[in-house]
Amino acid sequence: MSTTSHQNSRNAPSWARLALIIAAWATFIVFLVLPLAIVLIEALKMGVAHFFESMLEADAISALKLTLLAVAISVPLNLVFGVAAAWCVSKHDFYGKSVLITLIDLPFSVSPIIAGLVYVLLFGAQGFFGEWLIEHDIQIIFAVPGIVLATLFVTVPFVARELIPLMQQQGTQEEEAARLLGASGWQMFWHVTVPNIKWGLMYGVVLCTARAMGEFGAVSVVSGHIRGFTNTLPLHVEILYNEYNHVAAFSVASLLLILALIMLLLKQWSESRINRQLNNGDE
Amino acid sequence: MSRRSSPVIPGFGLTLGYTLVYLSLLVFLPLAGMFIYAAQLSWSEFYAIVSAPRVVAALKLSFGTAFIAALLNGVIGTLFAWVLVRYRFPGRKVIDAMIDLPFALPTAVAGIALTALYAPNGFVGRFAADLGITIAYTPFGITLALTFVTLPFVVRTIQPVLADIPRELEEAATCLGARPLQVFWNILLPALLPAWLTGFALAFARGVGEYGSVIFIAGNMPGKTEILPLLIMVKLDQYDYVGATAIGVMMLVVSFVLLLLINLLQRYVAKG
Amino acid sequence: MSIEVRQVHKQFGNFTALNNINLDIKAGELVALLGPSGCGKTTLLRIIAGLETPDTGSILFNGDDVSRRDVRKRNVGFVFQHYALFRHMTVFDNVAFGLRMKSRRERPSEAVIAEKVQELLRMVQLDWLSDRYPEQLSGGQRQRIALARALAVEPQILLLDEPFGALDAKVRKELRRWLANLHEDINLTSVFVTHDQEEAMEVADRIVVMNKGVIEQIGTPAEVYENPASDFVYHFLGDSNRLKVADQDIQFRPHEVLLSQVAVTDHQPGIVRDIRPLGAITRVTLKVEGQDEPIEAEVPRDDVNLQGLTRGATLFFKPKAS
Repeated sequence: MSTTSHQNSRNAPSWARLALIIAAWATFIVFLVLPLAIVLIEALKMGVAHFFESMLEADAISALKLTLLAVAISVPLNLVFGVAAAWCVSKHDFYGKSVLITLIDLPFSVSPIIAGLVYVLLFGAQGFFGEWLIEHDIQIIFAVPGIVLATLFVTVPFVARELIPLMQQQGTQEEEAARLLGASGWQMFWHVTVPNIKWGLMYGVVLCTARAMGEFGAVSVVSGHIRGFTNTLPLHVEILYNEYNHVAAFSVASLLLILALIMLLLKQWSESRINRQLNNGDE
Repeated sequence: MSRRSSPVIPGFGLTLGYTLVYLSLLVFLPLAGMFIYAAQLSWSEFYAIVSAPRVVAALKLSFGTAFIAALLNGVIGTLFAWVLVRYRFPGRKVIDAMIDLPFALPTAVAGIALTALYAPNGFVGRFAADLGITIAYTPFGITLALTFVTLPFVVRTIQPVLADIPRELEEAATCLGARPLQVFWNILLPALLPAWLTGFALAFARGVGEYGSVIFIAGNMPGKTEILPLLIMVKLDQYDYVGATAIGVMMLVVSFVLLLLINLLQRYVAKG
Repeated sequence: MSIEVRQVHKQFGNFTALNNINLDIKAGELVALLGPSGCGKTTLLRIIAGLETPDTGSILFNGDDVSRRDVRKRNVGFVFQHYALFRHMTVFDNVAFGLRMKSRRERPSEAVIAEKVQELLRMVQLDWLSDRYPEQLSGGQRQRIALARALAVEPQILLLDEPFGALDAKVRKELRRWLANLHEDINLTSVFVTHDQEEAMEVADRIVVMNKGVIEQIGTPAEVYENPASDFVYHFLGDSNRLKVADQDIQFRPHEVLLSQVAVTDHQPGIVRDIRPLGAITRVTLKVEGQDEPIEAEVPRDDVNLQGLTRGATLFFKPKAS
């Protein structure tokens, strides 16, 4: 990083600098702070007691449970996938590698609605496997498995895309050194690779969790909005809002907001650790 | 440093196999399924569905608002990236951390928060209404929501590139007599353009598909403020799977063609 | 342990990294693989280590074919160019790593490991750094830790990839001598890769000069310097002059020049362009009539012909060899 004196000497006109900083602050407040504030203001409109009452209502609790379940399944699966994908892409060379890297990101450029739609087409009553599933009395769409699948789809790339650049930058020398010193494949992985990527992993997991927790569109398609059964927290917010139960909607929303802020803090923390690690790596 | 695969680094077959199987089961095959499902339509049937006035209106609205939102982000994002990288000022760290809020915040929460702010009786909307401007329930409101949810893309793609531009470049230009604005236009902008386009493309792709933050503020009037993803939702609610699939296929294809074009433009720009 | 390289060939796409390489290294020898970048020397070292597989050919340790042997079973110590120290481990843990990775039956107790690690750290004169992390060490210290780590598993062969490449000139000189001494003490068969001829000459028992995937010459430092097998070896091992005589080019090294301030038979005149005192020797650059390439002569700093010599003066010279 450059020094303070340098920062001040550069970009000569100070009025321009001041104007830009003020513009950034103003945009920041209007764009990011106001929406945050309004959620809390609306939630607390009818008092703290009412706020907690809405958050602890039975349907809200069951929505919270389902959200946590979706997170608990999709995050570990995508974590394992992310490590595997990053390993083969960053530590090995093969034909078609760049295509694979692009394809890993594919779910990011597909609308969440389409993510939900493809599973409805596979497992819904009119879908490819619809009849077979009905015969065997298995329900995926409008049930928990569908919600988990949709969440998985939209969160596939998160861990992988954080790890790939990190592991590419770290190269393979430490792994080679470990092997030469007699480490087995798994010993090398656990003693050398994992400690080197743990903050990147953490970062990816945080992003993945945030998205899994807040996914709306994809889950909305496959859920069927069955209250107390196939409702996640974001879907519950929608239901309450559409019933003009604004205070309850904003109370549940503020719970999600607080979780989001926690994720943001964790993200910031793991990011600073990654930077520290990378800076130490180079001479 | 050499990055050749070395025979002592194990796990290639296992990890590549797992990656391909996982991606195929979860992403490729389901997406292929949608195209196969759409294949039961003849071309004329397909065309009839996607050229219906309501669909065309939604198509224009979705791509139009996403495009404008991505452009807006191109400006706001560059402003944030510039200020965060180049200046030290009170609150810089807070802004830097909070820029990612739209990614962390569930889109439904963003949706109701923005509606509460910009509805005609809302916090900000009230003042706008006094001036005769309606924000919520118009394309303007949709653009606003899309700008919010895609805000971090441009900032985060430009930031590292801007930080890495060697300051000797600017100093050299200044020594050769360029004024600050000339330095910006002739030196910095060309260097930033590839990253800027990446951020733009990401924001655009996300904006086209965005659902949660938009449906609350859009008003969802067919033909006026109904976005494509919502139209797919509506078709599904009516058990019109074929219609929903046709629109989904069209939306994917149009998105990919546009992303490909941006990608080509980016290569052209990067080559100079 | 002796090393034999038999008809090793390695191709990367269209690029031939190693073309039919044969090489014998005797037990206890210290051998340098010398050549410009891209000549295949690092690939050869990695093939000996087992980090790379040859397309054809084999590697023998003490007569046993190890070509198919897993890298863990080859018992090779390897020091990477950029050391590849485990950045999240202390110096102590880095050195102890190889011992701790052994299977439970072979693994020594922690107490024995600690003793052994301390002994190695004393040997590389860095026992006071055992709690530090690699990032807190200087380049030279990292290098020595990397060496201690490689030696901890008691390898039969020590391989070093550009061991001094990333160090500054002064540290490099010190470490070079230190490594040569260490080799004398432990007498381990060692191979190191370098692109610096001075380094190879100073440290190695024998030098293998490589170029474009083939071995140009193998010999002691004196042999390769005095009797270069090819033009390439001649040029790579030191500076040289080229003098046009009649229609022929004569080549000679800067120190192989006789000088005289007065005209002598067989001596040719040249105009002094530059006089550079370089410590023990002084280099004189001469412009010769009829060729663009200047002639450089290196003579002891107290050489009688340097007395009163100034730029622009005329000096008479003659290549010693011819």
